[in-house]
Amino acid sequence: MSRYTEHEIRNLFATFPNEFINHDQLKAKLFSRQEEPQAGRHAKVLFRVALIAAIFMVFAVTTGGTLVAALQSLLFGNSTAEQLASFEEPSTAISFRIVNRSDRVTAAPESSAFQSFETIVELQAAAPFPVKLPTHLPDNTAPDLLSIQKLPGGEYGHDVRIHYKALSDGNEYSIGLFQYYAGSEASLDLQTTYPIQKNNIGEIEGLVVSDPEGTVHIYWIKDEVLFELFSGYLEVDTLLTIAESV
Amino acid sequence: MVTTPTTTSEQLDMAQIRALYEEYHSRVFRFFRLHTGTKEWAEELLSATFERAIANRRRFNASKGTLEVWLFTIARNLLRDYFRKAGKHRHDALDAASHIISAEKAPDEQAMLQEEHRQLAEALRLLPDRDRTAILLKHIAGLRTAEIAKVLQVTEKNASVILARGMKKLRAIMNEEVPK
Repeated sequence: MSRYTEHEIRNLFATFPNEFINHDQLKAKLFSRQEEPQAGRHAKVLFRVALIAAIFMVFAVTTGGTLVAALQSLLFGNSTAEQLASFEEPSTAISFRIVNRSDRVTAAPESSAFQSFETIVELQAAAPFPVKLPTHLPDNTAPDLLSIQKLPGGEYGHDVRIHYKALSDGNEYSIGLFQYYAGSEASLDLQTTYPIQKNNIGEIEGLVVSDPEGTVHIYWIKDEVLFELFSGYLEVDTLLTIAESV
Repeated sequence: MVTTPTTTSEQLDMAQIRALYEEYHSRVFRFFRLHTGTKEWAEELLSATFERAIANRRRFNASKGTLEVWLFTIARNLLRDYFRKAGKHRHDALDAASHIISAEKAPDEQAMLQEEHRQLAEALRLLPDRDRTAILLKHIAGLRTAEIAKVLQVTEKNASVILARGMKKLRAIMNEEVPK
């Protein structure tokens, strides 16, 4: 029996054949309508609007409801709430806040707007605080995605994210190192239903959380910066060694 | 390469949609092909994706993501409808991947490659929907992790974890390390 490495699986994706043969036919179907004379298109649009209006009015009258209810029913059927809810994605079961001595939240992680950078040097130059890097990383590891939070005013925020891509025995996996500037005398308020284990990172106390799906997260605060290191592939001990080298 | 408009006021015109079609129709087709298991459904969904893209081209907003993210978000939404109609996790009988005869490969090598592609398609069907989508967005659509996160509406961190875990599961299935 052959055994597949991740590299071989990636090659299979790359060589998976394109079996779509009706390319010209579909292209004609999709784009020919756009080349009809303008007047003809307008007449068709008007006809469709009139038809939809007629169907809508008949529907409203026959259901005996209001026009708004008829429209809602036509658009969503009877399960609007159910359909909308199904688009919600489960969020992460680990969240945290950085709290300073006066209990004021100074950083809110998981901001949505980020700017990407091509190199670590560019990222470090743009970041509003000194970004630290691990001196120890597994072999065959390279920076992959580098980004800094972008605030609505255009300036960079206190949320810096580095994703490394690593290769081991043909398996590609990622290591994340996120850094949040926390300010002086900040503490971490970690909220999770998963067990939290305390581990020393050098002389600093770190918190280790392993989620049920196998991702290990380590949190610690050093020099006014909160670090979060995580991987779904590496063991806790390996991650702790990386953490100590930051 | 299709360039994403950089301002929100710059709407997509038909020439851009055509260019998008030329560049991405093969990737969108294979994305659906490996998701649904059949060529027929993949063709229908490919057609529906570009019909929707044409209809919504004036609503494209560059500040929310690239053209690729927009296109594959449409594709993913259509897949949700497909699975909702077909019943969750239901797949039609798997088509064998057809291969164009290549003069560069010996017949036995081609047969082996065809068999490996069949195994890949079958293993993908055993993955949870989100894992499969993330993997196909990466390895078939060619999206980056940050773009995959936008299509899946999860954080970048979650997307990278979903990808790593999904590939681990896929590899285990293909190597028959887990019961099918």
